[in-house]
Amino acid sequence: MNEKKIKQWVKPVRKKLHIERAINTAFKLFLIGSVAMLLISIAAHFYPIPFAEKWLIGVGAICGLLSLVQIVFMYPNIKMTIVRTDLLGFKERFITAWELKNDESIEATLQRNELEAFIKGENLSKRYKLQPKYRRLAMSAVVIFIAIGILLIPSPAKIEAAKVEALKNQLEEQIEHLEAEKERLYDKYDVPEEKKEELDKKLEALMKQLEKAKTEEEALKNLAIAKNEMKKLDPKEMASELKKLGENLKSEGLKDLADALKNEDLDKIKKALEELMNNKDSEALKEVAKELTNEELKDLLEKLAEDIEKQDGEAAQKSASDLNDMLDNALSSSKSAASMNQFSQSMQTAINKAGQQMASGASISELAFSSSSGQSASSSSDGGVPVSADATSGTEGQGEGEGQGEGQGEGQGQGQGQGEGQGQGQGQGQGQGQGQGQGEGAGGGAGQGSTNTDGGYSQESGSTSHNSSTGDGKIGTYEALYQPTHLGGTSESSFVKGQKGKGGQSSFQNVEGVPIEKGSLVSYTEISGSYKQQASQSMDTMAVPAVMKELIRDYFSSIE
Amino acid sequence: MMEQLEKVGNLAARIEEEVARHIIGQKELIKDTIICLIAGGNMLLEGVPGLGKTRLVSTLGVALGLDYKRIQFTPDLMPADITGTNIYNKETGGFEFQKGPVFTNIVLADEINRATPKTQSAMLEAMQEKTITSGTTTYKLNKPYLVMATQNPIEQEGTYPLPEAQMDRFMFKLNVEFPSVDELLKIVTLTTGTSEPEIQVITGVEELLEVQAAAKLVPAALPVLEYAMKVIASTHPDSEFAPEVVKKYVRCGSSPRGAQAIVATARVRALMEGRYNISFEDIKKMAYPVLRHRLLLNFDAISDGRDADSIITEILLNVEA
Repeated sequence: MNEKKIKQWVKPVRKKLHIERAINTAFKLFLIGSVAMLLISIAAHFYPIPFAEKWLIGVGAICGLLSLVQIVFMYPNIKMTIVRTDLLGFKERFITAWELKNDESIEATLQRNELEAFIKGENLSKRYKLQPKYRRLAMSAVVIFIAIGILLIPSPAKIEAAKVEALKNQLEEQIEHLEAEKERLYDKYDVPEEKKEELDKKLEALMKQLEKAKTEEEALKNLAIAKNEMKKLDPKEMASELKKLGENLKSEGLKDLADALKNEDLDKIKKALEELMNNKDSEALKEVAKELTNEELKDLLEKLAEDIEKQDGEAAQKSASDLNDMLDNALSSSKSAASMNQFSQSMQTAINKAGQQMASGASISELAFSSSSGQSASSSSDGGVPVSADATSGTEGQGEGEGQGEGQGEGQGQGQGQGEGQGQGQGQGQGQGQGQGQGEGAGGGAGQGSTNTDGGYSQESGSTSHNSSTGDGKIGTYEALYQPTHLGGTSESSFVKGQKGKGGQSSFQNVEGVPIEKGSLVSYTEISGSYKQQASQSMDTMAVPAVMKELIRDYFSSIE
Repeated sequence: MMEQLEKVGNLAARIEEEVARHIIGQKELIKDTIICLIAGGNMLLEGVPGLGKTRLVSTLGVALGLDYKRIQFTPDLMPADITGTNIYNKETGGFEFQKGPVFTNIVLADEINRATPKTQSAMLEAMQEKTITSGTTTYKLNKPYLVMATQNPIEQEGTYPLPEAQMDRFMFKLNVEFPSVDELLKIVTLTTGTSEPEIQVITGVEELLEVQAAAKLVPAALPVLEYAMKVIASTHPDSEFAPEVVKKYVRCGSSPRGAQAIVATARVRALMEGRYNISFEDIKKMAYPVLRHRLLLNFDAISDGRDADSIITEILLNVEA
């Protein structure tokens, strides 16, 4: 009862005290925030801090938020309020009354009564004058003024930071664009749900990787990785195998089956197989099996042939039923595979565009990005090593990362190879290749590099970009090549050392790839001519500095 | 109870008014004297001769309606001259105790520092226990009992400074200041004319005892008491609360008796102010008269011209309320 009464008496003071504390704490936080801002602006003057202004705003926002929090949580407690109320000239009447609130003795009652009489007619709210600490506010204002002043003074670090900011903005924009494109393609190509989930995860990881890029090079590299990842999504399903099988079946007796396979006509395939079974034509079945590379399907057909030969009707029936199921699955998945294929292609195009936009929008135009999927690439570089290559146009190498090559230049490297070209050097590798270059390189795959100024050679991991090697080579994991100084990849990296025009050292490591297709060997001159043309076209359409254009032209002239 | 508490304020006001009619100026002194009186303590008045110390005490004695005696302390004064002595009675053929001047309500121990320490010590029991022991017999002194001693701070030749034990028994040490010119004029007018006003008795023993008992009932909040204790603790150079000035200039601080005195007198002051609770301000005000004779200053303080009051001021500034 007494407690309630006392609380009621001091309520106006409590409210004012709360306001005062809120103001003063806000001022305090403001001061702390402004000091933090000053430190950030000083740091941004000497070290490149991208989005320094946003950091300043962030600090301010945090301080503001904390102020709001303290308004809620820092409500003055009753004891503190009472002590402060006593300071208004009540000479410890309130604190005494509060301590004696549960005491019903005469002296305690008397004390409370005296207090009540004393405060009668008193306006405690009016009596309590707010005392905001304006000094803190003034100090904060001065500090902020200095911080802004420092922020406005130009410095090399700020120029650097501005470049990073521009890059980040572009990246953000491109990521948004790719996200939108992804959604659009989902709708367009009817990608199955389970695939969508997988794709989402993959794309999310790639976009995160892209976001982390700190330099333009990194961004482009990440985009290239993204594109290659998309390429990997191309389904190599059994359906395509069956289609190929259809093309390879030459026997007259298997004509129906061949046609059915080519047309992906499930009913006709079944019918043709049933006919073979009815005819107990185990030889034909074996012939079909021989042409297959899919072990599972091959085994099943062979088993069926054996069952027919053994005249085991029940086993043959079961094998035929298993075969039918497999064919059902293969053909039904071929539809989704087509969607996936289309999706993958479209995404690759979108990523290509993103790369081109980045390249054209960036102040540094030392980039190259393939403009079409898998057939050509163009590059330009800022005195670095322009490399143009095309993974699919890479020819035949031998084995994994093995090749031979020769280069020009001074230095040492690792590699073994044979090839034609101009230059001297040492290298290790296996394979055959042809090319020109300064410097030495060693690398996986049948490869050849050509360098113009840096005396280096770079090769994307596992890819071949040359036209004169023979044998089973590798298909590269990168479609696009971009390597002013360093070409990264998802697997291993290569690096080049050297000085402009004097050759140097280089080395690269082999990465496993996939054997290239038969008949994909193309002559060097054809490729170099095609590359030159591509480069020329790219230079016309992209923002490439004149000096770089000159450099690129020189390069292609040198490799002719 | 309420009436009793109210009575304290009323009585204090009446006493103050009556004394003020006879003592010109010295308002703080009069107020502190009344506080000490109601708190039941003894006081030491220090001031140069002729400032009205004796007059104040005698006026107070009459106004309060109490028995009042004055003892002029001299070097040859013996303890028995104060406490009393056994005298042979021819008629009864035995010894009878002849009570000394301390058997009264108010004792004015004038120029107490002129008596020898032995005689000064005769006052110890009377001041603290309010009893006198002669031989094997202990005699109770009257109630209320109050010793008001005076001493002259200037004439130090042939004086015996009061020992610490005795100083501690004085609740207050009050400094009697020289009056202003206006006050001096009034004093001269009042005392040199023919019509000196008569002192009126305004109260009696019973009422005074009632008031003294009531004053003990004033409640004190814990933070206020804690503050008072911190102030007392700060007077000790070894204390964690001691400010630098205390560590530098104070040899020994206040005893717990000082703590009792500061709270007891703060209660009276609160009542005289019309409050039923002690405030920080009461403690601060009472700190000076309670502590100034309890701080034993070292040689550095004397050589640097520091006095107890300036050190108390710094203590009060240092201790947070």
